[in-house]
Amino acid sequence: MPDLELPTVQSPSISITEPVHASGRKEWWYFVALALPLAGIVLLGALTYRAIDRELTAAALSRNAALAGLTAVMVSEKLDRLVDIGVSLADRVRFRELIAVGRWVEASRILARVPAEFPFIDRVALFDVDGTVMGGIPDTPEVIGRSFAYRDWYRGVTRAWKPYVSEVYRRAAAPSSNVFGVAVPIRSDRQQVLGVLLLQVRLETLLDWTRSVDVGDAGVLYVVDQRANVVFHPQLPLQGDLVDFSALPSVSEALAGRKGVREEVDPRSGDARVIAYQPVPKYGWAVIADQPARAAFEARNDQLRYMLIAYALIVALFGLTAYLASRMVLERKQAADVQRTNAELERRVAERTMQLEAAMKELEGFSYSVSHDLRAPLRAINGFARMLEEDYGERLDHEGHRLLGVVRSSATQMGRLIDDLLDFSRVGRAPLTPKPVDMAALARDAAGEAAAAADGAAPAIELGPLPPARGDPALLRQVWLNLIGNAVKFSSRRDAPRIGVSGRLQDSVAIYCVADNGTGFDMRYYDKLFGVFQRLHRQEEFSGTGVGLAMVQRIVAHHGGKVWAEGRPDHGASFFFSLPAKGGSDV
Amino acid sequence: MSEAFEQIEILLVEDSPADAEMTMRALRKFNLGNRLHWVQDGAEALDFLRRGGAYAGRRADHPLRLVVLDLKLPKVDGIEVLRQIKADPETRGIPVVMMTSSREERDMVDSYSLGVNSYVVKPVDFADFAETVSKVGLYWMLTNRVPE
Repeated sequence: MPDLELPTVQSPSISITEPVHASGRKEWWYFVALALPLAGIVLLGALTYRAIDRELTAAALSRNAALAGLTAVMVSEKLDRLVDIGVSLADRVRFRELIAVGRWVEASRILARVPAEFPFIDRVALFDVDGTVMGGIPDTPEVIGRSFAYRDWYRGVTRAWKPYVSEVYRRAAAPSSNVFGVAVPIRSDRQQVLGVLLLQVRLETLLDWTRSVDVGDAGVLYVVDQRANVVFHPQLPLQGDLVDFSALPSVSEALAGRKGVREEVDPRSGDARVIAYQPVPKYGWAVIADQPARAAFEARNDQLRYMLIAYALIVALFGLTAYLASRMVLERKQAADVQRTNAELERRVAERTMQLEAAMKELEGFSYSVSHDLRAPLRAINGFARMLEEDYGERLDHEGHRLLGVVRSSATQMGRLIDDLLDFSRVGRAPLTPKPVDMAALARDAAGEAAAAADGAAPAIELGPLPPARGDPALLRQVWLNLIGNAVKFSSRRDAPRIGVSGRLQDSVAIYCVADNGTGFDMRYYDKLFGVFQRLHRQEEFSGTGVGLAMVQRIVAHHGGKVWAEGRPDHGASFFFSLPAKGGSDV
Repeated sequence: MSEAFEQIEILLVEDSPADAEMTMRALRKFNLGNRLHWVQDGAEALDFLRRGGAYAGRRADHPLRLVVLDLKLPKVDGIEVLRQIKADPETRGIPVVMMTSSREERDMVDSYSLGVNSYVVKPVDFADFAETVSKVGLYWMLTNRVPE
């Protein structure tokens, strides 16, 4: 967030603290307004995430359960088919007739082609009702006459004299291998049990059947029999010792006739696994689909990850939008604050201006009083001195007349000082109305007037070409009069007083110069030159009030120009002033 | 006392005794000072003009021929006195000369806008002062004929 400081305001006297606090309160609400929808988005996201997680987990689990179910159905159908084969073989009329009369060997020959027609059938064996081997294809003379009544298939088929699919077992005849048996009773026409037909089926067959079922990455699908021995398992050797899986909870669950899916930790590897189990109902077997949880949930986790990324993007987008919006709002507010500050400054400027104007009015009042009240007693001093001279002049001696003269001339001098001071103060108070001014004509006019007022010899005044200016003609005439008048005054003691008036244009500035060969001045006192009532010469040498140059400077400054001078004692002085030449001053 | 006012032709309103004395002296040189009455503030001037207060008995058939008025006066100032003279039909015709030490332009503008007949700035130098006063007095008393 950008800084909430207001734009810098230099003057500590300007109070802007109140708006800052007010806007600070507003910001608080602003951030609450932003945080609420953000919290809503996050909460909604968390809830949705949980729901989707649950759904995807259920989907992953149910996928495995479905696989196990499908396999169970398939296994069941295959076993059905084996039973059908066994029943149809045992039901042949001629076969039954031969069995009925005890001609086992001949009966066996009828079945001679069975292993060839059904490659998954390893062997067909015939038993009498007591479980003794009576014949078989292929022929295995070494077991003829041996009783196998201890086998599970025998116990199963004799339980109700119905077809029975057995546990996995290692067969006795060479070469010995792991098989399971499908035992079917052989009956006479009158339904009397004559013996048992046993199909021994290779375990590889089941593996072939279930190969088409894909349990996914790193998953295994296996089948256990009634005793929890593995019928087949893609990762275990089919031949060899039987493997007992009864310790697995999912196996015992399925053998108890229950189906389901559970997440279990493999006690050997410590991996989390997803295990779906499904009983094969008619035959007491079970199908187990076992997959590492990582693989089972890979799709789910990927999807959740994408969703998290999408959420992060949404939140980031919201944050960015909020940031930009707040930037805009704050900038607008800052602009408003700047405006308010400006308005405040303007108000203060207006206030100060009013105070200044009031002060100016007071000053005007003061100069009015000076003009009126100070002149009155001066007039009285002068007048009464004159009356004294008129009425009592005969009784005064020479010294008395001289003293009266000093009184009168002092009063007159003071009157002139006051008048000059008032003139000086008036310049700059009145607004300028600039117009084109013929400076050459003004200078000529002023030179004539100054020469006429000269005490001594009439000076030679050379007027050069002067560029025109813009300004107040009366005030600029006063400038010329004061400068040329000074030049005349201070060169009056020379035998051949010379005064030069010149001008030139430099860039957009008109520069004018009044030079004389008079008494000059010492540059050490330059800083006093243009001060009010500042004089560089004694009154006896050159009379004056010390207002002339101050007036010149004030008028020129009022026009937007500058005044400067150069001088050397007894080597004359040059006074310069500049005025804007083009367009003039609009002051 | 009312008899004394019959001959009065000039009313001088001036709060400064020194200025009043110099004005009277200047006018006397031209024999204009004898029939002059001097009052020191604006209120008394208005009383004289309207025959009020101490001047209740002054006769109305002998009008003044000139009022010489100072600008800054106690009680009622010169501008206000001028405004009242020019507002009253009875006194409107009397020439009024404003004499002041003020060189401020605004006084001059105010005075002329109220119908003053002359506006004179008192010079500091007595010789100039005397000349100015006597010129003004002579002009309004001798050359200018007021409609009777």
